Amino acid sequence: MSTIDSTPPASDVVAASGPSEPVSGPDYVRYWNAWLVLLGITALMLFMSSTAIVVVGMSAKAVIIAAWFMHLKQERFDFILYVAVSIVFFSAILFGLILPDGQVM
Amino acid sequence: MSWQKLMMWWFIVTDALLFAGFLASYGFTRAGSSNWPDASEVFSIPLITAMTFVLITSSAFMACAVAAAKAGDRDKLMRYLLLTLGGGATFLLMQAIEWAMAIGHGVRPWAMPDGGDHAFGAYFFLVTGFHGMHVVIGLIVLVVTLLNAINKRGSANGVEVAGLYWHFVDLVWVFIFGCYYLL
Repeated sequence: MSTIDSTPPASDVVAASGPSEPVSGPDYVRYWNAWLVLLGITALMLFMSSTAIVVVGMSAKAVIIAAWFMHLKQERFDFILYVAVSIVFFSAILFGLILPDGQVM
Repeated sequence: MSWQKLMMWWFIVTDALLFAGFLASYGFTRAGSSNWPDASEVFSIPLITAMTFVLITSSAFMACAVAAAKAGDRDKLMRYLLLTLGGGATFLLMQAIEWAMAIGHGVRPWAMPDGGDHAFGAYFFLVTGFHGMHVVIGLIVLVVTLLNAINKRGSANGVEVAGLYWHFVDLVWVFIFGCYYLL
């Protein structure tokens, strides 16, 4: 992959003598908004604990954590595709095709 | 993207599939069992919910720590890393309490009280134990990251890579919480 940097940019160095630029407030607010949404979904899963809501809730929380906390949405589209397809495709086989066979045992 | 970050993502994808295998295997066994115990009768759901709250909050602190590192704000970075560490340590303590309560109820990897399927206990200790091991490793990584920040070493990239791992630990718990305790 030719686009991978071998060294981090100089601005990345935490050990710099002082803040290179002030942190804008909204950066932090964005994370706490995501936190609030995660808590809201958790509450929904707890109080309306139908299978469909729990499954959709788990998936929604995973997407929020990956996109906002792990900054996946800021990565290149082909990289997002690599991560999403690898996990979703193999999980779909495991949970959709293999797991239901347990019932015929 | 730095190579360290790419390697961490690579690890996350493979580790996610490992946990997916565990949970699918758990579901397979549960689907074929006629005497699967009711999780809400064995575990304290309020305690598990509090554990979830603590881990999600710790993950939010870590996201703030990464933002602080990228901005070169070392004071905020150290503060948020400490809060993240506090959350992780609290989660681990609560998990120890949960294990002690489960063992107190007679849950064992090889046996369950009242004739319940013993696989329930086996999967419980396997899945939560494996996740707990990830939390322990995460705490060690966070301590190293904090020491680097205190000693003015390391880079924002290093904090981000540590953050990716910590968020992944939170992400896996989302599925353990849903599959094991709610479904």
